[in-house]
Amino acid sequence: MSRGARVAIAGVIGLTAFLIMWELGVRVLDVQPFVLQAPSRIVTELVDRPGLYLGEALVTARHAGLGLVISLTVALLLGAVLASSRFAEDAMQPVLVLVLVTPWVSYFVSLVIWLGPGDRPVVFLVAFVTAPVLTFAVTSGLRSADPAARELLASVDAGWWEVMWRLRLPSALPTIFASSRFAVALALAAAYFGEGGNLRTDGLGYLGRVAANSSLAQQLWATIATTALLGIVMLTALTVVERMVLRWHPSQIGIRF
Amino acid sequence: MSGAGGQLSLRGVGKSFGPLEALSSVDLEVAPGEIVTLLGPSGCGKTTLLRIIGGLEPATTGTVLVAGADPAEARTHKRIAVVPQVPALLPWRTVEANARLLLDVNRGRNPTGAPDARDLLRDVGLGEFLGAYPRELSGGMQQRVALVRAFALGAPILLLDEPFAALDEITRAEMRHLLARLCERIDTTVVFVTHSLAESVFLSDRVVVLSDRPGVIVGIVDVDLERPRRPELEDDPDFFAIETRLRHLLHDGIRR
Repeated sequence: MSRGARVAIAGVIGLTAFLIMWELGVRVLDVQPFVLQAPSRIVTELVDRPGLYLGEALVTARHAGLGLVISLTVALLLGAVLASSRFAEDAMQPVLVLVLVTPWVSYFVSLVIWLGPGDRPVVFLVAFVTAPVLTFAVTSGLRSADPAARELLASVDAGWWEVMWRLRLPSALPTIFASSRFAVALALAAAYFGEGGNLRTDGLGYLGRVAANSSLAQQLWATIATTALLGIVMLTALTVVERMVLRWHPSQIGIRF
Repeated sequence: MSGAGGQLSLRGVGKSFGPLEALSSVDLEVAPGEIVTLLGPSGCGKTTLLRIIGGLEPATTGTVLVAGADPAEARTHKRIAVVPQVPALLPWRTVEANARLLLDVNRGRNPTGAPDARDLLRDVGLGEFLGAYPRELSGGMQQRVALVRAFALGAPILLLDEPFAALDEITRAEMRHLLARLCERIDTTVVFVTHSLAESVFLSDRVVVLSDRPGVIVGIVDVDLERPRRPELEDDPDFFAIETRLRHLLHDGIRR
């Protein structure tokens, strides 16, 4: 049996066991519907209204995806500057940490007032909260380039852009991919929250807020489950891209210690 | 290929790192096409001297002319090819792409008439590994790619900084024989840094022996052994005689 098949089977067994325990726990302990719904009831809700959840999931995916693309672009540009200048890094470090640790829940209303209702404040929130994580990853990854290879390129007077493109960026990719997993999770959380606090009516977060306000526990948990599924889809896509791009890297060739 | 472009001239070259004097008053002339080895104890400034010649480190005192120009200018014009202590292959590039790396950057300054990287790889026994990645190669094979990468640039001056230091003795011997073969095929001025007496005698036209820090030249030994150099030469009494002379010079330099 291939390693991939073994991983898939182990994953299915683990997930099934978790769902069974969840279902039994909710039934045996008679948990309140708003505290936790049984998986069977969530599945029933999703099967009853698949179009609704799929449509809203696409909206949330658009918010999270667009925010991540903007965030990654900013992180690459900013990271390139910070990796090239210790002074710039030292100057930016406190700002990035401040953005990272400030509770974004608290200032989202200000974003809606500033940018108006709709996609913009949600996408901005996603980009803003994920940018520090990706910037740290890009900066540290660019710095990790082999010093001997850097000197080799210096020996033929390679330009800044050539060193960046041919050496430093490929060296940074493993770190960027590793941090992107965390950024995806953060992006979905920010998108869900932003949609819930937005004045426009779309996205899984909006559906979840309506459910919470109307005591629709099954719908609330269906939005939570759909967001989790969306996260799995996005992380799987990220893994596929990582396997293709980093096929040379030890993390992708099954080296075990 | 080297012609007059391969000439090196060092006059009164010294280097200090703060209060630490690494090199002192080094005078050396290297003719085009000549192979010169810098031999000396650890920390005597051999690598520093090589970096100064390569334009990667400025000298504190003295002047250096590389192919008639300042080292920084020679570097800009890709007149120097470097083989570092470690192969420094890029893991995401194939063997062939790694061998072409120095040609792929600063392309506008590529020397004309450079040997074909693919031919060189075949020549060093890596013809079946053109599409392989560095992780699929042994240490010796990786260092062969590093050698080809330098020769493929077609630069008139080649600087090698203990390129075989990390290899086992058998592979190391194979590598010096291979390097000698490449040097005979491609007319290049070579400055080679090593700790190894056998490597210095086998490869060189002249061996420059440096003292303990601060490095000064304690002696220059001509290696008048026949060319092309064959592996059997290492069993020759003349070979041992030169090795012995170098050993004595090294000890003199350490006791100095």
